[in-house]
Amino acid sequence: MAKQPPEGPPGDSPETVPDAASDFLPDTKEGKPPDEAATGGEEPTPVAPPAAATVEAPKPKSTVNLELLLNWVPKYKRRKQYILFVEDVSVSFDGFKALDGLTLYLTEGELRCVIGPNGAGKTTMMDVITGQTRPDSGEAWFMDRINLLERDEVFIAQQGICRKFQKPSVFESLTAAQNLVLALKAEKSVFSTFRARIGKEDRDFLDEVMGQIGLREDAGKLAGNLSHGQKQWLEIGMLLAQRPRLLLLDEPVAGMTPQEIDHTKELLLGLEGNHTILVVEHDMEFVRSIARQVTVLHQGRVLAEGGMAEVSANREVVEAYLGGSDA
Amino acid sequence: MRALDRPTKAFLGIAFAFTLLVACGSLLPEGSAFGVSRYTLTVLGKYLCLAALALSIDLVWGYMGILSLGHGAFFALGGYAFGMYLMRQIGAKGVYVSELPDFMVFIGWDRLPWYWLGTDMLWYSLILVFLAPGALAFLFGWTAFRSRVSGVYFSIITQAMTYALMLAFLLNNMGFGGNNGFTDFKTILGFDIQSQGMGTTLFVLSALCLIGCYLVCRMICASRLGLVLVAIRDNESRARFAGYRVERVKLAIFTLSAMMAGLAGALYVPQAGIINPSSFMPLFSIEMVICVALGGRGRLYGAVVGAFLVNALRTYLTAQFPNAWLFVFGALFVVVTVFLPRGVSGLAEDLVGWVSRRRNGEATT
Repeated sequence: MAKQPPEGPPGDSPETVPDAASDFLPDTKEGKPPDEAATGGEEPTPVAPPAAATVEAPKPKSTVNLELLLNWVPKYKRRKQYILFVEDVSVSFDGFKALDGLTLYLTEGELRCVIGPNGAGKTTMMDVITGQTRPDSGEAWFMDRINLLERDEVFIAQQGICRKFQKPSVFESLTAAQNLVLALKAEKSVFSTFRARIGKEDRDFLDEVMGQIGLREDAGKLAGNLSHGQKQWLEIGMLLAQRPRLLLLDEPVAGMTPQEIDHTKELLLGLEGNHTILVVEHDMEFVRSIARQVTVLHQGRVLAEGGMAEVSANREVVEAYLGGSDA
Repeated sequence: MRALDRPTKAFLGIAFAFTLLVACGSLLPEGSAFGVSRYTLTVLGKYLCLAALALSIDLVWGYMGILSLGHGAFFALGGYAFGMYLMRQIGAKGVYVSELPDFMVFIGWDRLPWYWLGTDMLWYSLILVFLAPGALAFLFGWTAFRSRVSGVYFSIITQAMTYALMLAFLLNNMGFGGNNGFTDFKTILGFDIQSQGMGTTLFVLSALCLIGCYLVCRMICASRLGLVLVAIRDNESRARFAGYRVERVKLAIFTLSAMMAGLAGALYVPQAGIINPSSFMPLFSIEMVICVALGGRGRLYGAVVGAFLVNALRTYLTAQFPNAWLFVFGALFVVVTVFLPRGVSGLAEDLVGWVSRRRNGEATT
């Protein structure tokens, strides 16, 4: 569980935040183009100017059943267009609100970056999506039929939501190749794991993944002996071996050298389109170089969403996070 | 087959040769050059059983990283299950000339309690040998793993479990002979348990049990499930995110391991000639864990080597210097933990690696 420092960074006065939380909830009736990424992130998107729509306080659950029913149908329709649908999710730890009405939609094939100062709730968001943390309220759906809030992390992982952790987590006393074999998508019950054999198809696929993450030469090395960057790639490779539908990457370039960052950038851009990817990252340069769509989290809610340029220009964002220095 | 790697082949070769040698030796007339006395035969047979127990501990501790300090309980349960059959075999040949085991007559029972029913049949008691430890391990593991008890907490509650069982088995009205346990066995399937032939048979069965357990462990470790075990040891939560139901894997392996321990216990009892609640003592389980540590955990043959070394040393020292054993044992534990974290077999592997590197180095220069 991520530590959530209770205080935001200096420079965000609490009174600016609540009403500023802009959200770019696509309104279904207008039919948001599913992937604005294609239009190029640098230009302001035509459909929704930043801070256009302000989020109302989480809608009170209707007391009238009829209204609930009427709401449900469009909501369900809306849910259907997204691979990941997170709405109004709130999580609090001992009174501290780690997530406060977080809303996030991902369309299939999208590469989305989530940024935000420490304690903005980025890791908590991943915990909710992967079933590690149960939110107090809200909804989270994957592929419009899997209710993420009712499932445990193993089931969610088996459905293809694969997560890379902030700290590289590979199995250190196994070789790189064995790490990938373990992750390989398969029936993972005890007995079928015991019976599992690596077929020709699997071997080719694993070799391809090894190539993608650039570890072909080091396949036989113990994962614990790999360099920090290689461990990060190996972990991404493990996610790929799981044949993911949604990749969640928590700080994939943390602690990497510039060359390693370049390599990671290529890796992620190569995955774009075939995979839906959600990247949480602190490294602004990196985000700028890969991001089409950026979501800024602040104090557990979405502060702004849009292209990098547009987000960087947002005054609230600058105040809350970029602090001018990095914009 | 992947399971048959070099250490496994070496192990199988040595184990079969050893078994053959000792078994043939035991059949030679007393006093011949290669003869093996009845005493030696029994001692070696007991080592084989303890080695199988060490193996079962290595599977859960060395590979999966779950330190069980109560595996002796499963061993003892298997022993008691088979001991029930041995007690029934005594029949009316006991001191009190009753079909009931002597201790029951002694505490005034006039018929067998329900859980003794059927234990006069060998096949049924053999099922019990697996069922009793297996069921206990399943229930215990199910509650512990499901509530995600792990690490040192798990070790402590396994100790509490074996201690609680010891206290329970000490009670006379549990119907398991109380403090004295079961002893004074006479026959198995009607054959005299003291005979040389029975001694050899039990020895060979113990050897086959050890070899069988080794092969089962080896097959698991060589399969993808073996990788999962190591993955759980390395990073349990990552294994979950890779899609494995960690609790189920743990439960399955823990239960299997308990059954192996039970089988080892069942073969131990007729050779030792006694089973009593002292087998449930936490100290016994800890000793076995130290055997595994000394031999080198995470290597199956390490557990076997450790069990033989420690128990041979114990046999020697308790005969020669009865007071020294616990001190030597404690010292061994400290030395292994501090200087040999990978055990004797790890040291041997290092030596082999060093020698071959030197040889290669000399060859190139």
